Amino acid sequence: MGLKETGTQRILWMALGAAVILLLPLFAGYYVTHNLIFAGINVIAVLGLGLLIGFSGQVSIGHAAFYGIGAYASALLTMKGGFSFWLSLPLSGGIASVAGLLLAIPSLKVAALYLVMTTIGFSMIVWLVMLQWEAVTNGPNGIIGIPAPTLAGWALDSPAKYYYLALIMAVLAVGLMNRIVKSSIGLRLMAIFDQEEAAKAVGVNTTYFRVLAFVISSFFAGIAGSLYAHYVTFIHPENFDIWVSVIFLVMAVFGGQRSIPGITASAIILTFVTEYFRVFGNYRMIGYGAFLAVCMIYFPEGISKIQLGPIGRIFSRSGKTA
Amino acid sequence: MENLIQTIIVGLSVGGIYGLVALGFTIVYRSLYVINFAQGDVFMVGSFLGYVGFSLASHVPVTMFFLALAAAGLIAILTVYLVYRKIHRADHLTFAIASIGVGIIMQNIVRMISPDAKKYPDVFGDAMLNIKGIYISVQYLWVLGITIALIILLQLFFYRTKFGKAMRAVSENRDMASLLGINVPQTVYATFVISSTVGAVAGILIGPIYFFSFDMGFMTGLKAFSAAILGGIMSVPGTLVGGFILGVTENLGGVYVTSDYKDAIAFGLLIFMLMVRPTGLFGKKKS
Repeated sequence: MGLKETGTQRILWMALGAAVILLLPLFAGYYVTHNLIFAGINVIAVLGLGLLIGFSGQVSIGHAAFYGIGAYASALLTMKGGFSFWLSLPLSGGIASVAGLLLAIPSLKVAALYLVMTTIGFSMIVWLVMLQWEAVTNGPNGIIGIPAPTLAGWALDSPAKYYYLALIMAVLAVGLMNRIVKSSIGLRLMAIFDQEEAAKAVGVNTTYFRVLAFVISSFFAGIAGSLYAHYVTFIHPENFDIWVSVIFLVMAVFGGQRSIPGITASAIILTFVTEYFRVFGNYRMIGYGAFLAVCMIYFPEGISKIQLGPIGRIFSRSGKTA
Repeated sequence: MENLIQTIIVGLSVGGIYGLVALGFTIVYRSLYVINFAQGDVFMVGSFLGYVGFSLASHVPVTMFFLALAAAGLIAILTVYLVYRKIHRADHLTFAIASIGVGIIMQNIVRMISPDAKKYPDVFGDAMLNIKGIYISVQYLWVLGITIALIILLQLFFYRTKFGKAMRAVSENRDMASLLGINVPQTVYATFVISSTVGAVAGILIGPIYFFSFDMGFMTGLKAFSAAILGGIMSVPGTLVGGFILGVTENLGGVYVTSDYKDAIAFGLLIFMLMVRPTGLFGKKKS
């Protein structure tokens, strides 16, 4: 296995992959493009959750709350605050991460399953606020007519155009998460998860890094929420109920822990599985449930352990610990 | 005052339902250290089986009650055979996802059979008791009574019978129990059969109070999970107390503060309690 050879091969595969991805909206049709956008949005949210679960060992069944906060914040900032999308996108990520901070700090002493319950409760409370605080959120009717982002006077108001925005954001998210995971933050988080006492002994501030994981994770969810809101242009509380948190959790775990490529692939695959099982008609969700159970039986460590051959080699072995 | 007592009694019986569903989490967790997220749907399936039974033969409700429980037990055996026995040793998140899958399957099978909400036959009757101006539907008292009786039975089972003790031994140390001749796979089946039957009892009890619908399991499951956690997820009485606290705060909050934020009040309180006692009310401190 000459290093050079695989290097060239890898570049070729990457070029081919990039070309396909870039040209997809031209031949994929409306429906596929539409789903690809959701896949991209889900990738961003699920990467954040994957950091929290896989690297810091904090399981959340409440990420729909941060996703929803991002969506509502972005909708309100653009529609009532007069901000442009490009400003409200990072702002809504920021607002979601403040919410993450508010949940993380009091939950510091609460660990494992007890933390899971706290996140469920948080998600429930946020959802009820969306539903009941009619003056701001318009209650169960939701917010209609969220403007599509415009770029130099050009509105990203069709799936084909929005696709590129979602793609760029998803690629940025993957890249950023790769950096985070490989950085001292990622290493410290893994150290805390694997050997908390040892990490403390070498001077890792466990409290700080646990909270930081929550903040980063909710930032990603907030960004995803903002992208969602400006794509669908109509949001209501049902879009952010606990079921959405469960779907995110499934995507994050399904990919395999501590594997950025695994999580990315899992978010994309599961987004499409839910859509394409429609051919099963009424049996669609039964198929989805069986798919989850069967995959967990045969790939208990997540799909990142499946050998993919050349496609798998496109991704570096980032963030993976043996 | 009368109103307060009424609210508390309704809260206690709803809390008893949460507690029973929550017991399903506790029983599975303390023997296998995994969370069975299908428990909410097991509860829903139990409710459905009860509905079918009572509709077929409403004149023999007790027989139908036990037939429905037997059916729920058989479904539990099927799920263990097909899924759980293969992964109960896997990572707890792997198990969680698989059990979410099982729950989705259950929910959608029932959805195909019964897409609409169904009103239950009044198996407990609809009589109202009037005790010094406090009006209580006998339904609630039935629920409370059966819940408490079931908890006592379960405690007796786990602490007094040989099989119950064997199950506890497996949860203490699976390999050692196996060496001592305890049939571990059998206890895995028993764990799920018991947890499912208890969940099904809750489903049948709630039927006459609310409607049956295929999507009733999700929210109840989440609340029951929260109740189990609040109780410390290891103790049977603790779990029931967790359910009572959740049911009562939810009802008091709904009646006296605002019904809009009923669940928010209950969950807010739960989160607060966990901050004060991070391992649940009855949880042991982790070593």
